[in-house]
Amino acid sequence: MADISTSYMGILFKSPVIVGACSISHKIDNIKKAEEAGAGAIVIHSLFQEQIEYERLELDEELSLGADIYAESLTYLPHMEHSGAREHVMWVEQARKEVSFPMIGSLNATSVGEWVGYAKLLEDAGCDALELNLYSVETHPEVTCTDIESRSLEVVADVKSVVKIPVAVKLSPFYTSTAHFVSKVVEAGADGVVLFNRFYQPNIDPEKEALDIRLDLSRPEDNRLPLRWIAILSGIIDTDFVAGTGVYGGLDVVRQILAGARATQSVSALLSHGIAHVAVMNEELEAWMERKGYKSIEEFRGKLSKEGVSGKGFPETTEGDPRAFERAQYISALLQHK
Amino acid sequence: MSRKMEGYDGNSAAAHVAHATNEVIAIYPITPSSPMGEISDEKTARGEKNIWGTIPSITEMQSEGGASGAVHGALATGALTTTFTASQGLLLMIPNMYKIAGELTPTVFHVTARSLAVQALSIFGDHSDVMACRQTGFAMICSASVQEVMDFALIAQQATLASRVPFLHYFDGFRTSHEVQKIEELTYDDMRAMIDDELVIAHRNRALSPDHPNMGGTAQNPDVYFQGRETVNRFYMDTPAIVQETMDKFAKIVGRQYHLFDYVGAPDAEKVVIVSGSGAETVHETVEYMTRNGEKVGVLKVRLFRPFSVKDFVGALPATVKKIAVLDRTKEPGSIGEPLYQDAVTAIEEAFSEGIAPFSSRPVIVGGRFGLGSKEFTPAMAKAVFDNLNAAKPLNHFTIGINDDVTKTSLAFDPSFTTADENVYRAMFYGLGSDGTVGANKNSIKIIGDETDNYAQGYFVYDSKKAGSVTVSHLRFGKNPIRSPYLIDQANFIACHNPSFVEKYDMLKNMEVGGTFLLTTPHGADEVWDTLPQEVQQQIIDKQVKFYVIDAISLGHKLGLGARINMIMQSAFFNLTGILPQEQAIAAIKYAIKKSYGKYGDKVVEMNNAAADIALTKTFEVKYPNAVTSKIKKPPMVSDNAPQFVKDVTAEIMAGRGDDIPVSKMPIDGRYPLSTTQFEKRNIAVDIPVWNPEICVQCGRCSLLCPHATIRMKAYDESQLAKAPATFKSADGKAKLKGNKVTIQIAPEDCTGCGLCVQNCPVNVKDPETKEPTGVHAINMATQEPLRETERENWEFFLSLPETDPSLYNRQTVAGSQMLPALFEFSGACAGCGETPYVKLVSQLFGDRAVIANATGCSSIYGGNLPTTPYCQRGDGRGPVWSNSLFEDNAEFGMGFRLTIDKFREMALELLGKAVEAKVVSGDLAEAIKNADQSTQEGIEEQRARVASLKDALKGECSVCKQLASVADYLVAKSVWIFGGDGWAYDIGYGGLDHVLASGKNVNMLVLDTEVYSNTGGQMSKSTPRASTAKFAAGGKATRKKDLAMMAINYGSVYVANVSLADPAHLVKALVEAEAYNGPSIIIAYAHCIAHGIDNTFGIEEQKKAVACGHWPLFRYNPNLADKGENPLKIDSKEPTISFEEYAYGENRYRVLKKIDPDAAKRLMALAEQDTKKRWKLYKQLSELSVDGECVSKD
Repeated sequence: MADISTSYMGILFKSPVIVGACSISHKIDNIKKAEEAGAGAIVIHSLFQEQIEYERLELDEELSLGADIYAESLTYLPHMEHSGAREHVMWVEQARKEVSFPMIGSLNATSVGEWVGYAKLLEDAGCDALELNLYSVETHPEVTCTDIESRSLEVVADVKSVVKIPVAVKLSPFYTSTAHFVSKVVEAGADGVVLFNRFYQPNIDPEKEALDIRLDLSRPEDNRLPLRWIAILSGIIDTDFVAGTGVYGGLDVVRQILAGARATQSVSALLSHGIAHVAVMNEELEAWMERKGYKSIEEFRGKLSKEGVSGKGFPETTEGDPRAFERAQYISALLQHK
Repeated sequence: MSRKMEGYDGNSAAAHVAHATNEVIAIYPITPSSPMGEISDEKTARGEKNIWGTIPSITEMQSEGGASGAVHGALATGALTTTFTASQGLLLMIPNMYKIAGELTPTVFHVTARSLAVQALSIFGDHSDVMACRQTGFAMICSASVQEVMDFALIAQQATLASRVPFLHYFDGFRTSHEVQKIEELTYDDMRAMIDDELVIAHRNRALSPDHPNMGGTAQNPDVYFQGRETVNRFYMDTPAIVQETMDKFAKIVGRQYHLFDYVGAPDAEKVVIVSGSGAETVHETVEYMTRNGEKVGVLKVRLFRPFSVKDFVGALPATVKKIAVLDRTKEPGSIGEPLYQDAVTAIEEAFSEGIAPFSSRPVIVGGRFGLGSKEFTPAMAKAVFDNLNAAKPLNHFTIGINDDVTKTSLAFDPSFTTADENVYRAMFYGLGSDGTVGANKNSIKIIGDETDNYAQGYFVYDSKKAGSVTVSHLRFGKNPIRSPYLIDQANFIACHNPSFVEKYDMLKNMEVGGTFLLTTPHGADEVWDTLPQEVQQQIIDKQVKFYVIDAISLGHKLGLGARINMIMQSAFFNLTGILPQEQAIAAIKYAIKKSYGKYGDKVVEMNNAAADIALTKTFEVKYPNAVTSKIKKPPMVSDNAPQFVKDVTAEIMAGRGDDIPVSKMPIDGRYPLSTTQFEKRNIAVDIPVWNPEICVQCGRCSLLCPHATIRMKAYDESQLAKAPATFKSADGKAKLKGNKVTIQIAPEDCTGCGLCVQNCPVNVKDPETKEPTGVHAINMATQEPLRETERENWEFFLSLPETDPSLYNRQTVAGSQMLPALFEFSGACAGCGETPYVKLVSQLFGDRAVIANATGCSSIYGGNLPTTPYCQRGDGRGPVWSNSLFEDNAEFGMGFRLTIDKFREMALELLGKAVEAKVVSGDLAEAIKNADQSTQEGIEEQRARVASLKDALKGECSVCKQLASVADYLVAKSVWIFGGDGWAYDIGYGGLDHVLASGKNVNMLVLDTEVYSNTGGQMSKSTPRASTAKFAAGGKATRKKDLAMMAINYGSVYVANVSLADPAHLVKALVEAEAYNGPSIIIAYAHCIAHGIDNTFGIEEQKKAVACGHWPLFRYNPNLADKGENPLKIDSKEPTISFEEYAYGENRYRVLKKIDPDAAKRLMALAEQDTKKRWKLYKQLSELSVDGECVSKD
């Protein structure tokens, strides 16, 4: 029987299928189900910097409801401070008690400061690793890409300085030089890189003439973006990669591992098919490995990465051309499409 | 040693030191001292340590009496202990103060000096309370300013340890306790340097301890008590010197030098005013002004009032003084003079006797009263006090600040006299309560304080109403320390943050010539002029006002700030006033924004930065003509048909001219006429309900639930509509009302726009296609302004319709009860109040014969806070009588009513017999009166007719006639009601309540249970449920709610009901049963409240959830049923259908704990869930027992 276990940032996972950060982990039962279904790990839903900031504003407004109306009752509730990440950390602590597979804490922080302390809290709560989500939409015209990247790297370095557990960084696909930034992230101390984040992009409902804020799920064909970048980067930057978009079935897992990923994250597939789908993905992966005669993940990981393709001396054909992941092949693909 | 300059008010300044220098704090909330306890509680909840590194414990007690007992106990066992209080609260501490002083126990009580409840309650400041303690043996030290509060709190703490004499540290309620000043903050190092640890240990070593036992509190006999009493003398003799040494030590450490008596003024002054408290600052300012003009005047500020040091007192006065005026901020009727005056006279006399008087001849000394109940005390008044001394025979025992046209005590003063320094900038801001104006102004003080070397002062004046209320901020800034503890009367700048105020308030009255007026308005600079009333235009022209407008409300919405316009207005203020150069101001505002809002994230910071920026470009100057052009006139304060008292007194108070009302116009004994809220047309609702007669089912819920009695129902004959206004609505009567017309009418100018009626209308029209509710009800909100005129006319017409014929309805039903006139209307309660519907319903059902005792609290404030009175009379002049005694004694006060009523009825029956014997009254009439069945309203009305006949028969001159006539009305049943909140019923008044329940007397108690001290700002009571946050339960209430109903049920002889507005039919039934029960009854009514952190519009939804989860089961316990062999307990609500958590987390009071302390929230919520389940189960089981104890469950 094929061994589908993998290692990611030094942690052994029973399967390369990770349940990504999403609403699934809002319920302890779901986390248990994910473990039972054979997930390699689960990323606990993100602790958003914005969420805590918003809750602080909300709390202060709630505490000052009815204030300054009557001289005897200038306020109605005590002035107390928001506990920051405590409510989230409690959740992680509770989850930790219920399951034994690896749990990855997720922190969405865009600036340094107290957020760094929250990383430590997640470590103390029992997370085996952290995933730093650098997602933000910067809209100020005076903020440069250098500003954003420096701020992000500062967050990574600061977080690494306070925790002992490994830290992965989850990136968006929209960097001017993805390769450069990934290398900088790794230099700053990241132990792994997750490619990519899905952006929340509101639509407009023309009938209602209102914003449509539904979250669109990824589609299987969305796997191309991480596939390309993992293939490009996995050989040239020494870190652990995880693919995180469009991983719907066991063969999608295979694809990403062939490109060089150590594991994959699924969210949309599980929201569509249920948590038990993890088991199906594992079975499909196992079946493929058996069919192909692979006994372990490492036997085929990176086989079709850019480095893998060229390193093994594949002829410069379209099928094995390392440039397939680069611009030339992109042009060729366009031409073919024509 | 570097110290921060920080904005503090008096309460926070006292708490800063008190929390840092004590180990145990036992408190009870009372205005205006409550913030000291609250701040201390928050410090402790945050883990702030005292100067010795431990976190002081804070304990809320059931009353100030209880707090002082706990303080006494903690002191006796060695802890450094303090408390905070005021007014009646301080009086309740007096017994323990004697004990604490008698046992030479060091402590400092911090007191915000406040008026006592005499002819009326006043929450405001004077020295009546502290002066009632001068005999207790406590040393008394008085702070005159916010800086002094912090300094003297520390000086007193060290002095008490050194002297062993306990200290009462007091400062003026509101004027000092709530005034914000930029002051120098004392550090922990200062405190450590000041407090001698050896003295702390000595105090601890004197503690009662079984490890070195002794005993206190013995009983002494005639042989030794007296000698024992004299043992303390030397401690009191030493105390003044100790205090002075402590003040000197403080000067060395901190740099500010104080004396027991501080003299300011001409060294060769001939006229001196002696005064303590904030008034001393006013006189100080006046003296500086007068001495600059060469006058030989001075002021002696009294710091240490007890023990009174004659030597230091006379030593501080200039030897040249010839005339002295002593000002007391208290009144002692019948005394030779007020306390400070008497002490001054005695001290000077003794000084002459002892040969230590420095004066060449005996100065003339007069005394006077000022500033009672926070009456303004201005430099003009201080000047008048000096001017009085110019007279050959100055008026003694004078008053200043009022017009006493009865006993002619008052000194005249020239209001135009001012010491206003042109280097001090004076600004006033009119805001709507809770709109952020006060917070923004506090922020401005902080900016100016932090960013400039200016001093700053802020004082905030609040409304007497809790709905649609206005707040007025008074801000001063200047290069020198600001004294001026009085309101601004000549402002450089006035801002109006709500356009509706222009018609309502005389804002420009206090504008100086050439001042700046900033108005937020939707009208542009070129169109705003003619939207102003003529009176305002005239003021602008006369005062050559620089007039600016900004549409802050629209701008706020555009920026995503909603109604929070404070940042826009704050920026506009800085821009227009130039207190700081524009660039510096905007940078300072943005720095403050980052500091204040940084924790909310960049987006909030950016929004506020945008608000600060936009004010610079969107503030426009208004060019106005030099003539009044408006067609709008300010409406008269009250209508022409108002009674004379309302015109002379009530309307003047409403107009903001209450200060000018002379003594002769005031009721002598605090009794006020009723029915005056009807004259106060406040027009505060933006939207009002509009009735749709086509779909209305005439259930009466909207009328019953309306917290403000602005929705009324009547049924009448169609012929009445002949003279109806064109827009008057009516519908054909349904059910018993068939054949009549029915109208539900709204009082448009009295409605607060809370929307509670619409939320609870059972009609919700369904979409014909989707069958989904559309949200269209039989009563729906619409903008008030276009409806105001027509609906006013309709309301007047509605009032002129006859009351509904009682035979057409059953008053014991929801709809029937609403045909009865509301005898409680248009109170000043919060919009959507959860208490007032109960009060109104009682007034409808029993108001014609109700005698109401009301505990101090929300219900006494909306029930009796001037200017207007909401209790009113029905057509024949009968209506509820109402009075408030105190907070703690309400059950007893009400029982006193019953005792009188029962005695008078008994006397009337005795006299009736004598009148029959004297053949003045027929035997038949007497028998009919004696045997009358008054169990129904009809029976009562019939008895009234009999008594009227009786009184006709008693018009003769015979002694029996006169005696019987004076008590004959008591032959008609009276209904005694005792109203109060949970603070009264569960805590401070529980002992009395319990006693009255046990008495068997026929009284009805209505507990308006908001589960928290609402009126004083949300402090925990024993009714507060577990897991809820409240002040003094900042970390969540850890213990379960007291089951008051079960305690009352335990007597077996008390009618008990748990009711809620969630089920009006049950409520009406319970009230009727309770009133009918011939014994004590208690009705515990769930009252949603703004203190719960909810939108009151949805208050009934919360009540429904409270019932649905079992937290508030509906039940009635009627002892009469037991007499019939039935189980007296009837559970009237269903088995819980939702969890407690589902109910609780709809309210901020529970929800915020999840954010503040999620661990505690989780733990406490689980326990609270259990509390609810257990209580439900217990009641259920009890209701299923047979009267002999066997289970009769049908399960």
